[in-house]
Amino acid sequence: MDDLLLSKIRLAVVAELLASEWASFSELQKSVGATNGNLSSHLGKLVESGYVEEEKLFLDRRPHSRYRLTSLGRERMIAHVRSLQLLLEKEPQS
Amino acid sequence: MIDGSEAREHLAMVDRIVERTSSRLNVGAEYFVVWGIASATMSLMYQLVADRLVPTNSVAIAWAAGIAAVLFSIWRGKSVGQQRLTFLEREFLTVLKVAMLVTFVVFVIELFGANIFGPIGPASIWSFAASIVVLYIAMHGNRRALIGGIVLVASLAVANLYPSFAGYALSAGMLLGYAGFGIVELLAAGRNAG
Repeated sequence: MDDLLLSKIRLAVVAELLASEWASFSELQKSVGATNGNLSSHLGKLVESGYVEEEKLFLDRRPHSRYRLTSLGRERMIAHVRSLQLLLEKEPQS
Repeated sequence: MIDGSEAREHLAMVDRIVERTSSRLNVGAEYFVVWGIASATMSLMYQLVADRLVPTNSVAIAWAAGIAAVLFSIWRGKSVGQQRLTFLEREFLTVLKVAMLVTFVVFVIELFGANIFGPIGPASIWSFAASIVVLYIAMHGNRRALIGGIVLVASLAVANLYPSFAGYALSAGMLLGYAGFGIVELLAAGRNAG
């Protein structure tokens, strides 16, 4: 299991990025429903670990950050989801 | 570590997000439809003019189709913006830039009468670039793109084998393999959204 993806917000961010090439900070915030500071902190960890790539750009002379999933992030996400599924398979049926 | 109930909750959340966002994978397909139709029109008009089936000034229709596709791309690019770019859009735009540049160079060379690539050279290069982008998308597991790529490659082969029908072959290839691929992707997006 991937420790970094045990956080629900980070997992949600990575899941959001699975189907996108790039997603802006505001889009991620809207879909994940985290506060500005909270999302920044989680995104920082994902960027630092190489799961997510960050690009800063100017749109209409205003700074924007956009994010995309790296190959490493995609691989780790798939492995993490697989291990979650395995955990459930091993769990005794209630 | 997390327990079973948390794991179930996390998986359910991932499922929900993936289900909601999967329709975005098809965004950008309209580029293929517009450019496929425009390219098919251009090749067809040039061939019809070459065969003297329509007056020479009918080439204006080909140019109008090309300009319409460019204007659509500019409008679409502005309306979507740079905030979110899907896989299809990224691949399409990358190849579009390279193909436009190469086609333009070939066109200019032909314009000065060098005749290195033959009369249908720019259209062939355009179709070749189109087949690369569609087959590249196919490499990421898209079977519809694989069929589109095969159709485009087949049209190139036919154009090469029968040069006098090259324009018709390339036109059919762009219409079926490129615009057709875009239409099928849009239909798939509709199904995902529904």
